[in-house]
Amino acid sequence: MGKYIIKRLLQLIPILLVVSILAFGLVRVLPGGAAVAYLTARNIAPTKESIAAAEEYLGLNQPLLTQYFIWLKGAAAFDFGVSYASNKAIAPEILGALRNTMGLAAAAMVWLVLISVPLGIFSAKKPNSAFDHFSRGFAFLGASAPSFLVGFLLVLLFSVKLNLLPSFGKRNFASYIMPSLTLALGYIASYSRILRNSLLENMRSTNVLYARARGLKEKRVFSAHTLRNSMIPVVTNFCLSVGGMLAGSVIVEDVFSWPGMGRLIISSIEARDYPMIQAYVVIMALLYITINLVADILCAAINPKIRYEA
Amino acid sequence: MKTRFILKRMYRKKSVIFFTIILAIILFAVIAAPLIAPNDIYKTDLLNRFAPPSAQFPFGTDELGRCIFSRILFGGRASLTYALIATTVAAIIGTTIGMISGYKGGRVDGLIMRICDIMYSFPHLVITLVIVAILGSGIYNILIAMLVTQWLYYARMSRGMTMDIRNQDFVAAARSNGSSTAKIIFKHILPNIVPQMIALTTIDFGHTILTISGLSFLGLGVQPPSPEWGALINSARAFIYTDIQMILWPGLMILLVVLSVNVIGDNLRDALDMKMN
Amino acid sequence: MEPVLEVKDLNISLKEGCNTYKAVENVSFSIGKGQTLGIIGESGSGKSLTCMAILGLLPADVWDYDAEIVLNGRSLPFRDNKAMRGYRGTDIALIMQNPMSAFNPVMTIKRHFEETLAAHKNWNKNQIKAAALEMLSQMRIKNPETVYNSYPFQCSGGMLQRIMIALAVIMEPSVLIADEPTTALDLTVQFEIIKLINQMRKKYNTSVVIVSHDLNVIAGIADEIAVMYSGFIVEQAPAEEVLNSPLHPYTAGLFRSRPSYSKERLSEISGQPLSLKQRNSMCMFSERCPLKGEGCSNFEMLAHKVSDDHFVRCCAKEMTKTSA
Repeated sequence: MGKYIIKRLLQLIPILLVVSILAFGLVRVLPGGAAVAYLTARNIAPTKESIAAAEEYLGLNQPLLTQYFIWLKGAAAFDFGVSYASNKAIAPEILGALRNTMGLAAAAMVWLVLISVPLGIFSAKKPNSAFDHFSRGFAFLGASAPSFLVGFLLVLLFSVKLNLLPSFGKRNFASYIMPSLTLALGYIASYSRILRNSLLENMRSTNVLYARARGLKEKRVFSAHTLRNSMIPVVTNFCLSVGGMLAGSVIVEDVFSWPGMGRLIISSIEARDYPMIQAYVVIMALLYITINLVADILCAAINPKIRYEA
Repeated sequence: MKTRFILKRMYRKKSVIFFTIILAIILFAVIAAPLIAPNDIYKTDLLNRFAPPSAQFPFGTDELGRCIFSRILFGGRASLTYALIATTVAAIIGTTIGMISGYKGGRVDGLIMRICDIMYSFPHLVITLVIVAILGSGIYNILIAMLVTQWLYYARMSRGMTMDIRNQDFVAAARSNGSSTAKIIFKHILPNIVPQMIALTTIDFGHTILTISGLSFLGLGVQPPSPEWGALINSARAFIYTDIQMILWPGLMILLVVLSVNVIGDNLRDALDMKMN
Repeated sequence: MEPVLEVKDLNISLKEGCNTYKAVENVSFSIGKGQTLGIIGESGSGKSLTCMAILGLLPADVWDYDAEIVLNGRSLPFRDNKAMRGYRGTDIALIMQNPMSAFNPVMTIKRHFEETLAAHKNWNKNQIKAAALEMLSQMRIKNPETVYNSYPFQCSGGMLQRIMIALAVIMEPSVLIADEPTTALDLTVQFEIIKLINQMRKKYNTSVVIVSHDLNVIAGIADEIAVMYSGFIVEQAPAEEVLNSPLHPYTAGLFRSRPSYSKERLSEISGQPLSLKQRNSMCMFSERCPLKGEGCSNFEMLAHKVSDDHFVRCCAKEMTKTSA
């Protein structure tokens, strides 16, 4: 197992390098140039003098490679410089936002497990029943509903009408509930179906039959054989979706005014705050690569075949 | 004919019939918008804000007294047209690249697959946001961004299918006849993968609508006062407490269209699957 | 001698919507201690269904069945899954056709042994390991410890089949049911496996029901042979009688079609067996039968006792003893 992990870690290095070059190059391809962007963000008129001054200030006159290494050195230490818009250090702000987004995603994952696992199991135990049809309809609905609609409907119900939950911001435990549920909904819908189909397939499989033939208790047959083997495709797929969940939070964060990465990038785009955008790209890239790595390792841990083939 | 057989299979289910009808109604209403919209979508009437549904204003009025129903009809034209363009172009480009990659194999294939892999490991939304960050907001930039991210699926799928077909006898026969690569791809391989690609496109169309309206909702896509569905919800945000209709109707429209398209696309794919069996 | 396993009037039907189709009809047999019954037949004859029915493993939503099954003098509650659990693995053990798919791919062989034994006995892990390793070496497995710790996908088909036999015999069951144990294996390995089963039978005095479509397999091990066709046992007798002088035309046809060096052309039984849904309770073989006569299509498959331990379901007056 250890060898597998080390191998994967080594494969990361070239990818990280490419990502850093891309992120760095981002700002250099701007129409108008980084200097103009800086001036616009600070509401200073872009005259010839101010542009020259800005270029000097931002260190844009140095050779490209030097700029790259300076930036890279900072980035490696998680020092992304200063935001054009707020003139404050980027790192604390973006890391704080990252924490908030990850908190949201974690809460969404709790919902996911809590709802889709029982839903999938019950649909599989009584296939083609009314419940099964209902869960299929629910799956389609969940996959088709835009998250902003769901979010606002929840707010309408629980905040406006019932006055139970806070409608925006991140203040307390209760404020996690609606945003994370909204985020999780689409995934709940599809994963409950994936689990159901996987279970149905496994229930009739030879190894389940053999387990029963050996005299194992039904509970054991179900948990250790049927369910366990059915979870493999679910977990595999899920690992791939976690990344999507972190990105898809953009809309949910907007609806609920959640102070996360999504809100940060939107406001940065509107304010043309390029260092922030750069930092966002690097952090997201790192996040994705890490998640993919963890996902791979998790899948290898569950499915021994992968370990031995590697 | 093959098509009739597949259609018959699909339309055995009541749900498919139902959603096709709904989709047809919405499409018709949206296309006929200039003819059937009761009011001018830009006409404001500050004395008649937030009016409840009436004969003249079937969905009531918004914060500037404009007719919500008419705005939704015209908004649908925007949403659906953009989504259609994005999906179709991505499908065409992606499928072509996939077929070439799958048929040729070798270095070309390897290179294209590497690019796909790298892009695949990032969620589209991030890439889309970055492209919008560089190019600025506006619907055309969004379409470009979506193109850049969507072609992957089509390429992967068509490549896989091409590789399966490429090994079959009739392709070898065509090659030995001296047909050029282009001819083989377009005359022999393409017709065989078109049904599956249509199923994929249908489902993708739903995702595209969600993405475009989502980005407009965020303020990055279609700009006001253009009444695209996502943008409508964006401007309705402030009024959630006073007038829920402004959010409800556009949202419902999106939901219905995407749901219909998903149901149809899903059943189309199943019907094709069974045929293969 | 008191029979170890007695099956009386086993009838199995397939349920589909409002229709039922008879899959197995009026199957009865009994096996004594340490005896081997070989059931031979083509696919679709109902032999595997019979095995699964004895173990109570046929899903109730698809299959309807009725019988009287007596094991060691006690009636088997084959409809009650919970009650049957107590018998499976301990009193009746099963060896399956494809060992490659029968083991759980994400569990080691060790875990398979541990969970099987934990379901029936109170041994700790060391006891289980000791017993398992002992069993595995009896199976002529060269490095039992390595195999014990490996995953099923790391073992060959023949190896897995041996492990299956080990798992079956470790609890010293009264009856061992082997459903096509050699079908998925290479020819060279088949012989080994049959030899192993025979050895275990002798050692533990287990009664064996072995099902196969391969004549050589059955001939190598069976004391008594039952020939199944279209859900009925069409002939049942001690092995030598069936092998040397088969009475039923189907049995005779089967033996004639065995490849052998002395013949020039393989003879065959013309036609195909009818599918489940096309059957009725009359003689389904008559269409293909070389001895077909007038009363054959209306023959109600009554058992005709040729001698004390030999019966046939055939109405042909010209049933003669033919040489194999």
